Amino acid sequence: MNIVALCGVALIAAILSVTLKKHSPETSIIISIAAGIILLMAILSKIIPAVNQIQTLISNAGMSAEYAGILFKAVGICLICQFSADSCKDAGEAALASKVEFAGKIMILILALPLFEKISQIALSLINSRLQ
Amino acid sequence: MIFKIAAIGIIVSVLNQVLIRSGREEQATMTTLAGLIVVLMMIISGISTLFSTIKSVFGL
Repeated sequence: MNIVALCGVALIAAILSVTLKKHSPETSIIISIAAGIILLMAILSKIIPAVNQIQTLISNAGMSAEYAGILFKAVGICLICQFSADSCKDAGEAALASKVEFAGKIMILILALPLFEKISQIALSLINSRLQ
Repeated sequence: MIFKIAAIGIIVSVLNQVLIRSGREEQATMTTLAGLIVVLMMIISGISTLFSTIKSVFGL
């Protein structure tokens, strides 16, 4: 699917959603969610080669594959959380949206804490070696 | 999928108005509920495939 088709899907979904908003609001929200699903699926099929390319780049740079895994996991959590939070916001549930965003932040923090621990250990060893 | 959902929404809202005009409020509510359930069943499989695709792409 090229970019023109994606933009057309988004525009048609927006028009249908606004048309149906007065008579059945729940259907209008579901139309916007369906359009989001179609757009994200179309983009995800294009994203796979990019992900593989970045992984080869990181392995060429000599970094361990663990870091790339954590990076991509964070991106995936961000995508899912953003999708759900935006859908909740469209449905008028801003409280639920902010809770979903908070959950995503916590999950990414848990994901990244081992890396932070490693960084702090490296910093500590550097400081101790300088002092001795 | 978008056009399917929109068609179901239009049909349900037209049925709703016809039933309300002819004085059958309960049936109108039931029709709205049935339409919502049908549309939800359609969207849930889409959400499931989207999330499993994201999981497999990003290795979650």
